[in-house]
Amino acid sequence: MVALTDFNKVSDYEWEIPRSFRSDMRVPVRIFSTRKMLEQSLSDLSVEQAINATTLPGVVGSVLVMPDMHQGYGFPIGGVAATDFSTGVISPGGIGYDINCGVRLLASQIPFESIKDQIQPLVIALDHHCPSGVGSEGGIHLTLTELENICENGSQWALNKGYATKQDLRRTEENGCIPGANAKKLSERAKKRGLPQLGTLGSGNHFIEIDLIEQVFDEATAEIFGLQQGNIAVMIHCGSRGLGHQVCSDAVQSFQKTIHKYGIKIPDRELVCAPLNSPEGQDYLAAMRAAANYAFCNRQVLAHLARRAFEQVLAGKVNNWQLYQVYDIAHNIGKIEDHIVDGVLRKVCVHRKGATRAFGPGSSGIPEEFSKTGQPVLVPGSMGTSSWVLAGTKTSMERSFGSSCHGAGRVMSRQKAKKTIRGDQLKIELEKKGIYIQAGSMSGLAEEAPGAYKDVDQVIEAVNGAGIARKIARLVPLAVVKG
Amino acid sequence: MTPDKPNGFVEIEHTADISLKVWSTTLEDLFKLAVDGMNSIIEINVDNNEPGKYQEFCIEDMDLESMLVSLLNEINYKIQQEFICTKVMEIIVEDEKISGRLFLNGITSFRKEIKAVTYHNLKINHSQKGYSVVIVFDV
Repeated sequence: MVALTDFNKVSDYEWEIPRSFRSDMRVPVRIFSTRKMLEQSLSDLSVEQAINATTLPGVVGSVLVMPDMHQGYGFPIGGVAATDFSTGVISPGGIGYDINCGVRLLASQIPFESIKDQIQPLVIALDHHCPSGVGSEGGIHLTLTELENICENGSQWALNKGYATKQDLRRTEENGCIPGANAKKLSERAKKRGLPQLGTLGSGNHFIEIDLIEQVFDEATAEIFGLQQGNIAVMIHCGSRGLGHQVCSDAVQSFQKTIHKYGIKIPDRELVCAPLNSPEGQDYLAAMRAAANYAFCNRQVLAHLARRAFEQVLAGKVNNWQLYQVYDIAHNIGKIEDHIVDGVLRKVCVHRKGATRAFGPGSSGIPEEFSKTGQPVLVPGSMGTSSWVLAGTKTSMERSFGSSCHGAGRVMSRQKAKKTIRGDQLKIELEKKGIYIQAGSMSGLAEEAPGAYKDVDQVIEAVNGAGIARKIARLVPLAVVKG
Repeated sequence: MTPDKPNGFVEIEHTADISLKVWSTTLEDLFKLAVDGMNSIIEINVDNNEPGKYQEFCIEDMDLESMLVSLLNEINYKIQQEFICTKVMEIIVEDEKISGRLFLNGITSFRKEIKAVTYHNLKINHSQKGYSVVIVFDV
């Protein structure tokens, strides 16, 4: 077990476990956290999992962990690990089964005060238009050719079909399409699972939320992002559904054998990996990118469906009821990026497992309009608490491979949440606070109760204090659709 | 192993995902119980109006843990994609092969979606009392 005394304090918000802590560590672990949150994190296996990730061949700099960290499988949730493009590996478990699980934020010019009495009809309409829940299937029936097109072209497919605007694509990480995807690298099962699920939310912690922009911390940046205090916004959280799960499962299974071929030793079989420059590594990279593109398109179709719901309820009742895109980000992804490591510019594969890209001002790969502000970083909280819009910083480029936190982070197991919280009771309590809930399952709702998560505001204080993102706006939920 | 029951499964604490402990006096029952445990997590409602059917199966892989993951992933795929619940009726476990007979039933509904069966710290332990394993499911 790791103790607080094993850490070197770098600052009030940054802590290091040196490479000397365990003989197989190739680089240190650096955790962005307050002392109090770090102490809480020692109660599960997240720090051990971060230490395990430092053993990956070709890992550079440090393995980083965000303050919303918690135990995962293999990598910790909140983990960021960069591996050298030429000599390093790619680890599917370091990206996760829900490839390109991510968040999209749509803003509006609708003042909350003008549609106070429409929130309940809106959430019912969102629930009606946006399929959610276990095994949910969408209203769009894809052919195999269309599915392959989506996997290789991402949200561009949605633009061609009239489900997106040009601004939507411009304001999506990678413009909604990671180049280098190859649908031929997907298994038949992955494709079969992807065919009926485009435009579906799924279950678990995925949601669509109507928010009120309660507080703005930086007026100028908020204006550039399209956020105005007192207005309505919509947040969508979901990923690549069964297609992505299958891509990761296929790779984790097949890499169990290939890892021996490359003589790689790992402390946990879930960290299984392949050299980036090997045929196996390249095949996974191409399949992973295909799943990521499916996820971008999935959130795009859901955004289209959310707009239809808003049109149905608000058209003719309020002016300017349209929803426009702030940004869409991935928080389970592997990206080939250039970063300065120990003073040298290197091409690396950044594994972000429950961590958000947070590129700062002047970075390449972010929309022109965000070049002076840094990219928007979208951080959902839990159902009853706030969500945040942050901006990437110069410090995040220097200290965290351009990454920041991705959410509140769980503290309570699903099992314990179900035992201590009743879903129907929680729904009543949230509605008393003015938060309407549309949920497919009451026990599923209990698992996702606000009390099962860390205080997102403390997570934000930690990343803001560490300088790896800065506060732009705070959102509070008005209504939630849970799968 | 829990002393009061020779065979069984129980969900144990995991911060975000689901962790299942399975134990048994024989390796064959360990595989059967792991499947029962996963079906229990998913909370499947079987279609009782359907007679169901038997199906032979055979999985070959490099070790016991890999075959366990393959079997569970296969059954999870059948639940999500084909709406079929699977129970292992007979199983023969060899070093690099498991084979036997499954009973397949239609499903009317299920409550929990398992994204994947993971290899996280996966190790089938063998002691004088029998076999045990802890499986982490991504949900």
